[in-house]
Amino acid sequence: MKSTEFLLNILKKTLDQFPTLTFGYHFDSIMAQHIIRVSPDSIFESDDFAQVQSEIIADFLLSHPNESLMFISVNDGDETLPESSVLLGHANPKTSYPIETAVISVKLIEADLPFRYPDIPLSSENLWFQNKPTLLDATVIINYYAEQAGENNYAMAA
Amino acid sequence: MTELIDKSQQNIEAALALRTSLNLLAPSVHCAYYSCVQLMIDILIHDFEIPDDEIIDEAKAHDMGTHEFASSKIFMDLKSKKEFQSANNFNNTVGRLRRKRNLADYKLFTVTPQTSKNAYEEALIINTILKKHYNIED
Repeated sequence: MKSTEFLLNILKKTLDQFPTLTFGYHFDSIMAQHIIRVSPDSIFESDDFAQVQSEIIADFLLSHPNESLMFISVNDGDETLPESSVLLGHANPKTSYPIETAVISVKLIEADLPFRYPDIPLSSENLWFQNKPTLLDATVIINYYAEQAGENNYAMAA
Repeated sequence: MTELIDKSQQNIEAALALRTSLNLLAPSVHCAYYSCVQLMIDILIHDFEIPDDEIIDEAKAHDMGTHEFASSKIFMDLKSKKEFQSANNFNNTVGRLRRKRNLADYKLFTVTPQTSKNAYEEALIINTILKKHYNIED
């Protein structure tokens, strides 16, 4: 499994355990570095989240030894750290649409790929961005959502 | 004090001097990073009992570079001791500092005074974690 897909799946499961969290994700392919921004900051004080974070890092290092992974605060202003490409979360504070669906949908629109969620209007005002996202590896996202398509009966054009 | 601990101390002092006295910002990041790497290698040798001349082969056997192998090994050890906050802080801070070192050494990137200062402070955090959990004698 590709590392991005591996991590997106783990983060999605982590949201079931910590439903109030939002994850921002970016992969720097030049440095082979995965960067996860976590909101809210206060979660870093949680011992339960610390243990989960350790498990994620360990699983990742064992399965992808030539790449690295780090968790940082969503408010981290370090100038050397990139903005997030994708946001993952259960609750969208501005609309009723799930962030992960909205953000990944717009990725596919940007990539001009024939993917549709028929029950979600695909207009920008329905999407919530922390930052203007840059294009992630759309192939990975398609594969990720293709797995969900059967279960959730989403329409996906060939 | 071992030779590597002594070199680590020299590098962290050089990192500070390069920034504050000489305004040589890029090499200050390099020295801050290597201060940590040298402590990590010392831990591999003395705490994990991996012979000096076998570290490179061990790293290759794990499909890693030497630096990545050292930080991964220490992270896993801290995690196995249930020191989750220290393990995460170590991993995440090493990631940040390694990123700065790569930008400073290899990329078209201008190192600012703030980046140099951040790198120095990150190196201090990493070295403090290592000195807290491992047998590093000053």
